[in-house]
Amino acid sequence: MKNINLLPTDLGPSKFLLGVAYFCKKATILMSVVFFIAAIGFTVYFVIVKPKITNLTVSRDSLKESIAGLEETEQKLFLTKERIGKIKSILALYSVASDLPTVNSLVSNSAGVGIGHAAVSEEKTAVDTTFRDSSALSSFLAFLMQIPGYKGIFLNSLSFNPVTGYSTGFELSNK
Amino acid sequence: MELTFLNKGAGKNLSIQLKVVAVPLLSLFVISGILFIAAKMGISQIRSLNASLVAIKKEESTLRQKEEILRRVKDSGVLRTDLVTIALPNKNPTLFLFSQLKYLAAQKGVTLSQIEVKTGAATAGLSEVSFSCSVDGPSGLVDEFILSIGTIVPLSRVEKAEIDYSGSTVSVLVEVDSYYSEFPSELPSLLSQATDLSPDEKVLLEKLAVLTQPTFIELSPTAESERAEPFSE
Repeated sequence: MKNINLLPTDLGPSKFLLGVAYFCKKATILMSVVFFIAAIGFTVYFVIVKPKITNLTVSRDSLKESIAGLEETEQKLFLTKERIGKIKSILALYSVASDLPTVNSLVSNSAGVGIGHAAVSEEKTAVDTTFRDSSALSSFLAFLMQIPGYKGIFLNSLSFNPVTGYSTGFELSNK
Repeated sequence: MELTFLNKGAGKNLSIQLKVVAVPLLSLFVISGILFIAAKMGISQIRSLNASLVAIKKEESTLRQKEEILRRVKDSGVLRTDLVTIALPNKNPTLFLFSQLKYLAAQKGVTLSQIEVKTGAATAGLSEVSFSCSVDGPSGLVDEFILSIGTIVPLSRVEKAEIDYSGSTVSVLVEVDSYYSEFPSELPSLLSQATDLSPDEKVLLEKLAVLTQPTFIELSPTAESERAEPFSE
């Protein structure tokens, strides 16, 4: 059976609507194509990436097991590093032993000088000395001036006794 | 031929107009909706997979590196935990220190007296024990003794020295500080990176190895002796 439209043409759908319908059809086709391409793309990506993740997971788990077997070594390494860090800080601390040779040089290298008492600490070295005469005192002072490393040399006390000679209290400052 | 006259009136015009647009429009909306939802889900899935891939790759690489380092360290045998734990013990080292100083004093031929032990303050994870004593002997030997304090473990340093030269021998009042620190209570996480010993650290271990170690005497258990029967003739 054939339909014959007897209606006048201006009663039919307008050109604008026909245009819209045409655009919609084309857009629908385009979107369907995009949808299928995207679906295929995603499937391909999934097929490639999923086994990769699975393989990496298997490898990671096996490494975890292997590391668990090396736990003792890990503990030792961690402990050694922790101790070494602290040992370094201890070794960096000042020790009076490093200043002892200087004090000894004062005793041994000065003729006519008697050293009664020396106190050595991180901040300073205090030395109580006696001198037979003024020349011994001046040569001792000259010797003190040559010693490197001290920031200041202070004469804290000076007294004279005709029998014993000069008595002094020196302070060699490290800071 | 049968003819059907489509004279349904002007009121039907709107319905025809709608029919022409409705189906394509509806199709467009449906496909747009599907595409939108699929894109949203797809993108989120891809993002999640990507994130998993990156994270697992990183974990795997960290673990591989860690395993390699641990194996290398284990095979090289450079780890000497005994050295570092004696050099810096986890408990108060007074007894070790006392034993070491007595050993040194005997070796150098000086005498120790007026021995005092004080617990010092803890700083930067280190606890301090302060050991003071008077060292008497000939000048050279006393000096040697004081200088040797830096060569013993547990690691110690001379904090102060008061030297009295008035007698025939030298008398030095020394204050020796030694240190201890508790062992770490937790291991780093499995996924944390491990680092091999640096050359500096290896050199330090070699230095510690040449220091005077305390001597430990291990008493072996005595063998079971046969008991005599007290009532036998």
